[in-house]
Amino acid sequence: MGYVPELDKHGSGGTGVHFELVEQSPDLNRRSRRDVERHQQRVREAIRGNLPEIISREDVITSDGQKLVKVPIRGLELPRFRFDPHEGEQAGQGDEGTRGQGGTGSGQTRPGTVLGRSGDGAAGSGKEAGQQPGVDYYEAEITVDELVDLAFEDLRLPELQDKGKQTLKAPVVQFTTLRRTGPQANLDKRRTLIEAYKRGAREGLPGWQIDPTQDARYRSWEMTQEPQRNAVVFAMRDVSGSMGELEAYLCRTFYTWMTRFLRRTYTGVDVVFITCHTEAKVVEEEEFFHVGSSGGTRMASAYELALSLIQQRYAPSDWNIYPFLFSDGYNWGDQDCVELVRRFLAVSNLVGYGEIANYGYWSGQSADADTAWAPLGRAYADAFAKERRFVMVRVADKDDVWPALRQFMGRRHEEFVA
Amino acid sequence: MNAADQAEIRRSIDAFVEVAMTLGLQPPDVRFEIVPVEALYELAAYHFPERFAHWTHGAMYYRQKTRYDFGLEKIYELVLNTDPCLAYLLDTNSLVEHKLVIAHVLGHADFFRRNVYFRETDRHMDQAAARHAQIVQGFEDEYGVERVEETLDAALALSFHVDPTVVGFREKTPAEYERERLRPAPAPSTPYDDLWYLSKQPAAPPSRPKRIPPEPERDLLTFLATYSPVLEDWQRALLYMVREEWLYFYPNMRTKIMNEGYASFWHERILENASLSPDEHVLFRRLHVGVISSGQRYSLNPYAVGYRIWRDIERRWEHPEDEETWYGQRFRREGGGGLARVFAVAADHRDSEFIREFLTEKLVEELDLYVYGFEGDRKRQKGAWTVEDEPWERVRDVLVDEETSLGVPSIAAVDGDYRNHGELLLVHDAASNRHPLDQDYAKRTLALVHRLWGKPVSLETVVAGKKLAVSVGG
Repeated sequence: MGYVPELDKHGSGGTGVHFELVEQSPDLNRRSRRDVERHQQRVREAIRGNLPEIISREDVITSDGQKLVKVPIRGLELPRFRFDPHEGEQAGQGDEGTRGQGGTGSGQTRPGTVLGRSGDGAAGSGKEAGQQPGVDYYEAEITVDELVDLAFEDLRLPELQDKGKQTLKAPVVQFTTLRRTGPQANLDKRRTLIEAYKRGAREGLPGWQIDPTQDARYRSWEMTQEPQRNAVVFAMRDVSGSMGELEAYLCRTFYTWMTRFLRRTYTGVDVVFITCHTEAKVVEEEEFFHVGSSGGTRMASAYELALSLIQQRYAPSDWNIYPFLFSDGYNWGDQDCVELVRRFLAVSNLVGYGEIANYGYWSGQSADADTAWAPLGRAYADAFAKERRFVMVRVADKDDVWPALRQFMGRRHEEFVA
Repeated sequence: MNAADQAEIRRSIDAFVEVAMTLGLQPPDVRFEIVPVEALYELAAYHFPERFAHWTHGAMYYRQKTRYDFGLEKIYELVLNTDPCLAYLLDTNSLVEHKLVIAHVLGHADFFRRNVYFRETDRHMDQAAARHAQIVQGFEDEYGVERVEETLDAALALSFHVDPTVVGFREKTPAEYERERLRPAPAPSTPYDDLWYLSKQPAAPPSRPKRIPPEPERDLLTFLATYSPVLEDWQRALLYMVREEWLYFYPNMRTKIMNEGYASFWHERILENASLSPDEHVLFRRLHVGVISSGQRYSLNPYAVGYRIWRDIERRWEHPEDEETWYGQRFRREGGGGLARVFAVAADHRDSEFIREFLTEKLVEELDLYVYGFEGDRKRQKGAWTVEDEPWERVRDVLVDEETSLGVPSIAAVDGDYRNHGELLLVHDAASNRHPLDQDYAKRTLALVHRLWGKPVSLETVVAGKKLAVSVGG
């Protein structure tokens, strides 16, 4: 093998061997900080973009707020032209995990060995999903509280009123004033400079000459008392035979987020869960979200029960009241309901009606199902076309929950169309 | 790091260089630098001591650093093909780790100098990257961080679509191309003149509308920088900067398996010939086995595969076995030429050739290489990645294919006046690629091309024998 090509000169040093060793001292001001921050910002933007999917995730709904939830994000990677990773063959090399599956000691991965799975629910841990070829997978960690902030930061609760026991006040700390002394951490540099400039002008000194003893200004706080605001949500739900597991889940998603949203605004939020078929009863949260059972449907019972509770416990002068009913819209006595909703409107901030579009159940409905309301919904639509404090939403699957929430909570008067 | 350790490392560098030279290596100058964790991980994310700011670097830093913090992964070293080579060692490495890494770096440095694909590398790219960083910052000040990011996003998305053979392309304007194309053929001097010009394009009639680009152009960055009707000069400059830096990375990508294998081959050889204490030797062996043992399930471990192939080449040329003699007397090797063969292959191969020529059935078996595919619902990406039952040649061919394409579909700009409307037509050469395009990614990438082109952008490809077009901006 005589062929050994002449070596490239490799720059100026070339043949003279020269090796040196230097040690770099730690530099705390890293250049990566800005780019890492921009990356994190993109993560948050992506979370916002994926909210419709994220908010209906079970772990997000059941989390208590402080706990970190892992949110899978796709589409974060810079795209490029590439081959479809799910088509054709790719080359891999076995690790301890793949060799174990064959059950032989030969140290070889056997044909048929499953390297990993992907798809709904099947994707094992996030770490594994991230390894799979072509999977643009990023698992962001976020608390539900942050998620709520992200989700609702641009929304204002409509029809908000200061109600509640004015005597009950909560102390709130706010930085509102400036002082001449204070901890260095609270130094207000801008105000300090302005003070120095003003003093210079008064004393006829040119430029900025800062005298800390005279010019320093420190931000300081005050304890203020905020009136407590209370709200009660009447979460009412049709549990007649026509409401299945998916419907229960959709209700749950909706109510969970509605409650979280209200908690952002109100100091105290009560949620009263009422289930209803032909008779209504107040139930615990757990029971509320269980699958429905019996046949008949008379939603007026739920409204009646809620109204009697308002009389007994939730005086409209003290409470912001949000009744919300979920039903498939097939009901006895639609006009009774319309009348009851009228009574609600007199005492409530906002009255909501969510219709679960249950196409499969009522054959023959599917043709115009996208636009048509069920009878109860139609009755409401006719009666409350001009009523801006009555909100109607339609939910057919998980993806509809988010727009419905936005519609309910993000309502502005000019947007109102019956 | 204390002075004693530093002195020891200094001594090791000198000793290992001497061993390496005795063994036949000829590494160029190397500047070793011991750096803290954050600095090393920044280098791993940015690749150069100074580089333009972009969130992709931040994302890379964050991911790798997090994995380090959780103890899942550790980068021991980083080496740049510059003059002198810049090698960065992690300051938390143990002494033995430092020694292994130094020997490993010497292997890389020799490879950079030896391999033909690095001939054209600009060995002052670290300085160019630093200059680019300053220019980009200037653009950010002048045109805004957001606009610079938008342009860089699009440029980086296309950074693989660069043709290193395109030289001087940018010097020609479309008008010059046109003039060249329309230049009349020389008057015939003999009746047989047309025979001489068979390989040349006949001159087109002047009435034909001029084409942009004159020929299908695979260097999309250069194409867009040259012909885009909407880009401002500073944006064109960004495209060229991305392209220039990519030219530095390209040979690294084409020789990843060879290079890592070569460095592992030599760190073992150097440390075997250096005077390590018995304790150190045990530690070094343990580290070495860690480097070259396991695969990564969905992809291969370039250290392991490269290392085993280099070992096999040396063995087969040093001590030819009976298995080699079936070629007959003509190709029978005499033996004793192991290292010479290693050096020769390191000089003129790249990964695709290296695999095709030297990956044997036995190596496929020993390295536990396989091909796998996705079984299940492809549309919804629900299913399982399953190892397939294929002969070893298939494994080799798939690997050769991957190392040839580097996962980049062959896409060319074909018409810059598509539909006579100034739209851009890109065509994917589906016949030369084994896999179909990822359409979702293609759509998202096209949106970025559209940003650079200004008018609607279409991409034609072939899926299952059917022509398919995706358009953005129309």
